[in-house]
Amino acid sequence: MEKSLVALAAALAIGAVGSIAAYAISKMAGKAFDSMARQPEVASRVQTSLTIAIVFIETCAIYALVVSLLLVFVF
Amino acid sequence: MVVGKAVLSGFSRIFFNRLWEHLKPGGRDLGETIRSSIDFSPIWTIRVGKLSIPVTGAMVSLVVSALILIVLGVWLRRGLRKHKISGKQALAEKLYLVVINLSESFGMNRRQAETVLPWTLTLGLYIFVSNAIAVVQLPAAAMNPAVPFSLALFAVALIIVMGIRLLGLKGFWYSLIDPIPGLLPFNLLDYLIKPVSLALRLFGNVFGGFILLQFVKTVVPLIFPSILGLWFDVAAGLLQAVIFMYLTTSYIGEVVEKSNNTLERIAQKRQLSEEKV
Repeated sequence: MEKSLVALAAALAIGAVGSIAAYAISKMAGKAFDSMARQPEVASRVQTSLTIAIVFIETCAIYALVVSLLLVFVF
Repeated sequence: MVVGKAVLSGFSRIFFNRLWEHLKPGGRDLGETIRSSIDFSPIWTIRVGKLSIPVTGAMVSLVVSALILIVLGVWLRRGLRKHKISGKQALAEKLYLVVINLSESFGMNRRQAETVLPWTLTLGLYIFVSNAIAVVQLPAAAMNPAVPFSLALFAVALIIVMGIRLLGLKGFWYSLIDPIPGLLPFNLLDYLIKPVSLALRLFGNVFGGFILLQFVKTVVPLIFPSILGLWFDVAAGLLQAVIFMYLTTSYIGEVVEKSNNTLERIAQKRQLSEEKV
């Protein structure tokens, strides 16, 4: 019983954070490509800041991954 | 002759039995495999007199990757020329220019970028090789959480030392009191949060990739793991190394930029007070 609850908690943690992070990245990338298409001359600068922002969002998802891995393997 | 044949057949039987056990679908317990791989106890201990040094799997991978990098560096360094450059020199120059351009895009000038480059490029290459070494079945170094944490602490020390070296103590102090002096505690807090986020990012990515690969090895032991391994070990390792280097460079650039902002603000204030007089 307890083991299954832990598994459920891990799945919820990574599932919720992963879906939200994927949504955020998709929204941001869409906007960035939009602005690149409008102004191709600033494309490289947009790309740089896009990469940094994606890394920061991905970090949140990786925190969730670490938490759920700890849940699964420590408890 | 007969004895040789018997030995050979016995050997081949044992070999194929082992191979079949290794390749049998579902033949391994996933939880057991992962639990044994997150056991970070030392493999063996080196004794020097009374001192005993424990050696873990991560240390072996780190030493091997350092040796690979030394050989690579010596090989790239040999036979540099001004005209009619060889292919490997073009590769080295390209790598150099990419990192220089990266540093310059974060607000450093050429001289500052050339000071920072050896450190950040070494950090990036080291992380890449120590992750990609998992292809030859050595444990990826970043799987042991101590490794990414120590690398991140080194990166933060590098940021502080480079900030002081490029800008002087006064310039570094200016970077801490941007935009207003009241934000000093938060700027200091930044130096605690940065290493944690750098380390957890590297550790989570490598560890997550490892677990997924173990899962695939359990379910489909043939062909698939080696193809996926190329992605999770080499490509993801390269991506994480580039991100680590990128962020370290951007943090150093941030220090330079903040210091410049404060200098500008001080100059503006002085101009305003002079106009009043």
